[in-house]
Amino acid sequence: MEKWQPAHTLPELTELFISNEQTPPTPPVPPNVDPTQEMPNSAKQYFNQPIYNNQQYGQQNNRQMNQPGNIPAMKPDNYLVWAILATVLCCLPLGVAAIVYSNKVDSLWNSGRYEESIKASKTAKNMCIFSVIGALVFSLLYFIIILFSL
Amino acid sequence: MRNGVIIITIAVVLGILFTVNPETASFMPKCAFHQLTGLDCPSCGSQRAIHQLLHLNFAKAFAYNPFMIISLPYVVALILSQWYNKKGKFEKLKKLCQHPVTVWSYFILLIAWWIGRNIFL
Repeated sequence: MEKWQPAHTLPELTELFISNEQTPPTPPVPPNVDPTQEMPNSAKQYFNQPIYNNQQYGQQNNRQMNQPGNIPAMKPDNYLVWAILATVLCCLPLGVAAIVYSNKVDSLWNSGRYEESIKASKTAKNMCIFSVIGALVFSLLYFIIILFSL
Repeated sequence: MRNGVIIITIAVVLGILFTVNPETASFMPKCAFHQLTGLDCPSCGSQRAIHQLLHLNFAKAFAYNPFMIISLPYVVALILSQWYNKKGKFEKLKKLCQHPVTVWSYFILLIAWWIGRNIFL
């Protein structure tokens, strides 16, 4: 072991190193190199992906990370409960339209059409509100008419 | 506090519906759609149906508005899973209630009932 020496100093091997000495030496690899540098893209993605306990949260976060720009963080409320309550209690066709819009919210969001999803959510909400107001106003008017006609 | 208000409101409404017969009382709120068009809306007859339901006349209740009787469990499940889903207890129920297939089935049933009751009944 003590007799070991660099290979190019040995006379028998000098021939092998002649060509190598002219080419510039390759730069040494810095110690804090990114381990993902040499990986193929698919592997890199996997490496960079944070691990979540809950798969659902992971999916949601991925969606946020992959879409640059003003992507909202949370799925808008679909107001399905209000829409069905408005339909069942208010007797106005508006409630039926509200059900359609509130059902659109989730499917649009899941297919990545966030803007339209938020729009549908707002439309559903407004329809529920108008439905309730309409029913209340009508009931009140009816009540007043009955009171006066008694 | 919020729950108390909701429970009292529901109790008052059910109490009124129990004591007053909507069939004969003139001051009970009437359906706007029915008053304006003369046609029945999907939930016309709900007050009478619930009145009969509270008096345990299930057959009469069903005759007034079968759609209302079918809707009640769905509405209760929706409200429970949406607003009382603390600790994710009703997560499965919520998924079932808000599944597009469920909602579209309910929607088609609603439209069919709306058209059907005005043509055939």
